Amino acid sequence: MDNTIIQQGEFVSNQQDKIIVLRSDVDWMTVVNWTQSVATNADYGCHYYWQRGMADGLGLVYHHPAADATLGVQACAAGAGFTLIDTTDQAPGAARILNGAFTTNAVQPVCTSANTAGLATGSIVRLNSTTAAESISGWDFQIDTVVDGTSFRMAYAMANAPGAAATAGYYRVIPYDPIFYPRYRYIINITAAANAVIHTSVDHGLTVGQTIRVKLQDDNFGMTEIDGLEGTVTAVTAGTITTDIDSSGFTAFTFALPANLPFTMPTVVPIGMDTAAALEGAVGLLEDATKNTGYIGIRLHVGTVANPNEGSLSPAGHLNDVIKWRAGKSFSNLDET
Amino acid sequence: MNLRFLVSSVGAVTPNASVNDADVFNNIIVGMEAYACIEQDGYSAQFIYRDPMYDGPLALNASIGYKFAEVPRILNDLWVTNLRCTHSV
Repeated sequence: MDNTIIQQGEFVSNQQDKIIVLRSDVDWMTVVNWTQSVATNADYGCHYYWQRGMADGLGLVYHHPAADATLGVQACAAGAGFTLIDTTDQAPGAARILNGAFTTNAVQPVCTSANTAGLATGSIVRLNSTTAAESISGWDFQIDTVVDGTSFRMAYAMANAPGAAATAGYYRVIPYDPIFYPRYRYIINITAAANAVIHTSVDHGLTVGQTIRVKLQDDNFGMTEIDGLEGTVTAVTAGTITTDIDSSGFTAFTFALPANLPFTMPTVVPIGMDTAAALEGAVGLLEDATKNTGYIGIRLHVGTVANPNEGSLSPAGHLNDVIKWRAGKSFSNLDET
Repeated sequence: MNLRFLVSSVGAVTPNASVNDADVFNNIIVGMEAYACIEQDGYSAQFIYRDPMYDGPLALNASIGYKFAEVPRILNDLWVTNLRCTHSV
């Protein structure tokens, strides 16, 4: 039949959210938890259903309400069902007000907001209009230490505190990375050393052997000597890049203060691959190649941390459950009258 | 200096990226020969339109498509500058 593509697959649950990439897009999905279907564990789900039009995080769950083979049905708890994903949609989320202590004046500012819905360690946020601490506005920051309904913290340390705590402001969630890899990143610190270590505000995703160029034209960030220099990545952690650039004699890097506005944010830009370094580091020679990483898929949620039976009533399943799924693309009429 | 501006309705915009939450517009200033486009001989990009008379025996549908075999590469990224601008409020 026209307009219909059906895909299927299976995986073993690791009790984490599971993202299934569906290149053809998806309008409906059923998930069968094989392990719990043939078992008789009370309050464990065995069949799940989702179709386009359901709110993010929802779905239906057929479960064993008692420790026998009977079936019951109920809606998945909020945030414990299915969410449709399209990573090419990079529009920032709606503005969320900061309140209480707003942002702290620290190298890893803590941001206070009553609305932390959907945030988790690794989420990316963009602050705006942070009165009195304007220099941290407009950057994309990765976060950690999310306290539900209270606060979150910048995951990576800046060279120095931003000069003041904010007295107003808001933030937006950046839903997905730019779709093309490798990506440029904002720099929040650089060590002055024989092998300069560049600290990025978000996980950079670069690998050993890739070559980068540092763009740092603005003397509000100190180390302008490094502007335009090209280097090879010799080691990485998720948020740092060790390079073969000798910055030991350079001016110390400083993170700009509110009084320094306006300024140009320093960036590290991937520009290619050093073949010899890549071979030595056992990295693919084409890892520098620009590639589109966008995808359409669906997130099977595992439930919430607050739920002690995480995974038992959600489609990503309980630890080591065998999960089988089927997803389809159909003609979808969401407004039939 | 011989700088020419091309106006486009699909220019690069970074939404809500300024300090005041305004959109930031990316103006890519490209020097001569800063990039090149490698085309396979006689192929490059083709935009193909077939009207209904040629697309099916009953002339019910038109079709449109494209194909290309070319690779744009930056030759000197020091000759490419992104001039970002926004407004103050």
